[in-house]
Amino acid sequence: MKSDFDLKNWPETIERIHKTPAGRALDVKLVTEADLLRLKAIARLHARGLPQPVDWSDLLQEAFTRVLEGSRRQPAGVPVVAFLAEVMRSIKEQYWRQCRRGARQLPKLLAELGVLDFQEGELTDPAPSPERRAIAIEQVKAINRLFEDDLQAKQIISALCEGSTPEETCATYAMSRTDYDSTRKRIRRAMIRAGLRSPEL
Amino acid sequence: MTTTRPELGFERLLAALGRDMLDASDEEILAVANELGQKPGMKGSIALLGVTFAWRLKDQPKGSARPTKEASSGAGATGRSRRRPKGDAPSSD
Repeated sequence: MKSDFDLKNWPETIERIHKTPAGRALDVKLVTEADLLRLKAIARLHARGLPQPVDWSDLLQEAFTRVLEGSRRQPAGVPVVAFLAEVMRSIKEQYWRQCRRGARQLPKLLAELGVLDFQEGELTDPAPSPERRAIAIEQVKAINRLFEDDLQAKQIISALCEGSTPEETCATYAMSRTDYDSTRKRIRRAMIRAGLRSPEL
Repeated sequence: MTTTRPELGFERLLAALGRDMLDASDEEILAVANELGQKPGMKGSIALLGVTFAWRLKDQPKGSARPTKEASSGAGATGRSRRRPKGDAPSSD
């Protein structure tokens, strides 16, 4: 079977590892390939809020592990992709809680993480942390750089940070609802693209 | 507008963008992958690097990383010894 990149060009020092937890979930048809791409983009989004030792793949695989092992149970009526996305978000929050306790090493963190109740869509107010604040400022700038020439996108991003509703955003920036909706679609497309981009091998 | 603490504002932004991604159709996701030259249906597609398969450094110096257990249960295994390819940092665009 052909691939879309040439594995022969991998450096000899790198060895492929098969069958990650996400790969096993695909095998048992818990998710589809499109689901995995969506979750990859969401994992990359959440990983923007974490320091370097933890990357998007760690978040993604840990979420799949918890679901496959049953330590996180999917509530009835919640789609599996939405559930996995929420598990990733909660893992991120747990990471920061652990950091505040001084446990900064990921292996230790992963061994100690407990089980939280599923609370879909709940956004907790992050506790003040100089490191987290620095990452937040840098990453909002990085996201804005994706829309260098798109003023309306930058306005909407600013409004989303403020927690403004679409109506408030349109009023603040004298933007029509049509412009708002089309700009949100541009933002979504750009963020999916950023989330699916290929690493430089 | 009020001034929001950066970390709270950032979390609000991530939550909104995450919801957008959940709302996107499969067709849109696959279309973006296609634009990037990725073919996720193909075996070993780069689109699924770090997702269905990962990587690690061979012959790592002793103590530099833990050996990876293939098919181990989680990121604690796949993530610890895996190395991120150049340019694949989560903070980059």
